[in-house]
Amino acid sequence: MISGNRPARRPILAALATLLLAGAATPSPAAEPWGLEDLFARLKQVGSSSARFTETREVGLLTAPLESSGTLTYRRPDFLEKRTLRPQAEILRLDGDRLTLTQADGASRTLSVSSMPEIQTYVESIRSTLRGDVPTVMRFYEVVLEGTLQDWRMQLTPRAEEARRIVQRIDIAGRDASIRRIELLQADGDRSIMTIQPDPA
Amino acid sequence: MTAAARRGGWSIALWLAGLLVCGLLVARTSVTADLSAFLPRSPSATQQLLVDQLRDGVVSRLILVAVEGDAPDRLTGLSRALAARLRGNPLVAAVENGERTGRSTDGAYLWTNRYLLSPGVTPDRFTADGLHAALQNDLRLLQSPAGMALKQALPADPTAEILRLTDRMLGDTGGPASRDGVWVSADGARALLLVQTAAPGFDMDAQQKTLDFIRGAFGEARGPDGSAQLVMTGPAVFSVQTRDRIEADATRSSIVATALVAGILLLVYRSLRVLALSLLPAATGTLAGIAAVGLGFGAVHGITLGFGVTLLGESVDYAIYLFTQTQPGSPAHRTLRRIWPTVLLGMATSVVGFGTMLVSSFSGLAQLGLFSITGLVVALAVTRWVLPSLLPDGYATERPARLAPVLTALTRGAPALRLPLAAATLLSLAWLAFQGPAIWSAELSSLSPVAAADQRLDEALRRDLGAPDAGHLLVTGAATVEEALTAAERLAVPLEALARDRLIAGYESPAHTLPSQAAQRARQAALPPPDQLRASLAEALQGLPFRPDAFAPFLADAEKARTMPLLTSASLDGTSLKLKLDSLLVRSGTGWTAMLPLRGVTDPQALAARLAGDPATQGATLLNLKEESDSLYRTYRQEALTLALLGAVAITLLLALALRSFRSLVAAVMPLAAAVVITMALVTALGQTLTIFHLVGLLLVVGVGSNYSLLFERPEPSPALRERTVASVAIANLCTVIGFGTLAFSSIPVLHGIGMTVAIGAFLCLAFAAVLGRQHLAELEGTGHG
Repeated sequence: MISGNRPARRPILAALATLLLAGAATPSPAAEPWGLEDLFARLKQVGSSSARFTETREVGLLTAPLESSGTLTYRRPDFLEKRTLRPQAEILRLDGDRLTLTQADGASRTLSVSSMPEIQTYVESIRSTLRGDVPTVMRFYEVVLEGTLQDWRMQLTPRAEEARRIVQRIDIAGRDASIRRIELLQADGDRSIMTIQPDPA
Repeated sequence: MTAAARRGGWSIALWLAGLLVCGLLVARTSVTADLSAFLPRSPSATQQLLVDQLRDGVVSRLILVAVEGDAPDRLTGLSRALAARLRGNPLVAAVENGERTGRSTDGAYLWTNRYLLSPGVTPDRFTADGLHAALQNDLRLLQSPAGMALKQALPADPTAEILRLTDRMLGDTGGPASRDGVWVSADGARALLLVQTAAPGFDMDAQQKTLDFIRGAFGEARGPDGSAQLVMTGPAVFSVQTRDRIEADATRSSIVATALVAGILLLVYRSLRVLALSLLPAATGTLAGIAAVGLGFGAVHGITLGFGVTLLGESVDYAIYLFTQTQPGSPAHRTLRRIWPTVLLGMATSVVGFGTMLVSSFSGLAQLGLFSITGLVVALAVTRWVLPSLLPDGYATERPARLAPVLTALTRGAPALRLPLAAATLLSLAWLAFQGPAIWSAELSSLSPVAAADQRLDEALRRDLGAPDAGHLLVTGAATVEEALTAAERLAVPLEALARDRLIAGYESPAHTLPSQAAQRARQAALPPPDQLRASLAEALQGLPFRPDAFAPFLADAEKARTMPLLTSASLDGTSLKLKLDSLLVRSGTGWTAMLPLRGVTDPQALAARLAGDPATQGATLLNLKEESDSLYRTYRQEALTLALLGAVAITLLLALALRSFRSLVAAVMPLAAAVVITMALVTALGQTLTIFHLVGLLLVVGVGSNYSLLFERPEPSPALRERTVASVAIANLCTVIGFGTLAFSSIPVLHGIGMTVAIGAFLCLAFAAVLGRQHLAELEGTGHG
């Protein structure tokens, strides 16, 4: 979802993008061994970012998938806001442990994320990735990382059995320090796919 | 001689029998330490509510537990392990640590009965339009991450009644912070648990057992090498700690005081036998005092006990007067006959002073009064009838050779201080007048024996947990449970308006857990019969992407709810909600009282004004617990002050009657008055605010001091006897100051206050008696020393 928008980093990103465009098939010069630590070290350097998203949810109760779209904002370390613009305006704000859902009519509901493991499992996958917080992501999930720094996919499987009863797997894919796609697979077969377009910085 | 011996024999037999009876009574008397023993016996209705809450209310049963001092993961693990060990034990009514397992029976109650409990169940809600609106809302929820958790309930609860119920329970704060599903403090440094004890707050032995059990369970959960610590606060913890501390302080003070007093007496009399004999009246008096309180009140308060030990200070005086004033060649019973009227009068003034406390509605004061009166009467009786028989034949004390000349010189010089004394008294009066009512503590918490550090810890944990504090209650009463619940339900509309206007953050009501039968019936009537509901649902689903058969469970549950038997308080058995209901809906006299605690009151005055102006809240009383308890305390203090003044008047009258001379009366009363005034000024200047217990201390000062001034005032047949009188008073005073002085080192504010007041006051009484006494100087100077 989120791209680094610190001016100093942009030339490097541009260079990498050029490289990718030039020949995605050839192994890049940066193909030296890399891992979660390297990826998260990059993510850690992002102070704040914003993006647009479109989301598709397939829910067993429904005959058709739900489509929604809006914007995402992140500020280090703990603030994350998902502003849905279509089909209904709605704001979901995560600030520390407090998750607040505000609907178009102004009604809002707050809950403590950590008191609801299934929600926490989903929230931490995104937040600890954005923060580049290796210990937290390792505490909640078994992590499998594949691909290259320019095109990575991270597969998160919840460690806690309680959480696994709701969330089967979360797949996050991205390029360098920006997340491009989050796929959530629930235990009951429902799933949601969010694709993310970083705002031009 | 034989007749006298026989009489002595009878006295001793009677005394021994009395000791035995008292001993048996004391063994049967239990010690209490709860603050409510110091609360009124016949209060007003709202005060009774307050007292009940303090004794037995849900707040008095809460133990706040924190686990700290280890890595966060370990702390949350310990919290789970501790909670698992506590659950199901009969001592523990409920344990909450954030885990949802703990609320499973509560959750099941809410879920199964959601259609009878939820105020959202109205006829409109279950029409095609109402259902359509609800389903649209569900769709929105499904789109948010919260939908992931909520969608499981959706097929059976499309109108989201369960959400409404849980929202109402949590309030808008969303509960404490947590980690891995377990409550932790905001900084994550401690894991938090709330334990509700099965025993009421005033049952100290059961509370003690519960605390020990929690400590044991924690020890097991942690294992021998864990570094984590267990911290507990709450009213029960405080009461138990206080009881222990009062007992420890009383024991320590009595040991130290006894040792010091014994040391002095040994120094003076140089005889172990006489030393033992001089402690006898005090010991017997204390025993009798405890027995009398046990008989009269059923239990003796720890504070009474701690206070009583220092009665030693006054009752040991009698023996000192007797021994010190017995000259060689003149038997003890002759001394007794000589000093008897004076000592008797001194005791009578004390008894009159404490007698006014007997009628106090403050049962703690009445206990102190009964204890002191019994103790003093018995101590004097033992001195009069038992001691002489136990003394060796021809017993006499040496002339206090080293002490006497110094004391005589001091007393002779003392009158020079009359002017400074008058100045000091006037200055003190001016200081007290300048301070005005500020010298009196206005808060009930000033009686609380809880140390300030513990109070701070308690506040910190309460903040972390969002636990209920003693704040504001809306109280309404009715003749039956049903009427009380209906009255509580009527308050919902005005209270929700207050919440919208942010005058309160939220409220709890007994009707939330158990709605009135009428409300339940209305909700059942709001649910349409199966065919009608099915048709409405089908219509509502049009144009929405839900699968047509998705809500079959809803149709089944609605029909079940429509025909189920109504909820009664028995339906709550086995849930922790039952305890909540019991604490919010209580039997009071012949009727029932519903209590609705208000959360987050920001502006009490505006709140009171709004409630007073709203016709919908007629019949409900807003109770500000803190303010109410403070006003209760002020009532007591006023009463105690009145009683103390009455006591002072009674003492003056008694002295006037006995002395039959205005000049003697003035001479006896003046030192006491000056001592009381200057003591009050000194104690307040040292930064203390005066409480009821300081008043008690002052009464005691007057009691002890009257002995001094009477003895000083009494003409003596010879200078030698005069010298002995002065010495005996000085020794007695030293013992009193030591007895109460050790109490002044207590960490319990109450004991500290009394100790300091009496130690200072008693010393001043003696000094002022010397300064103001007429002294019969002429006799002394004329004849020199015998």
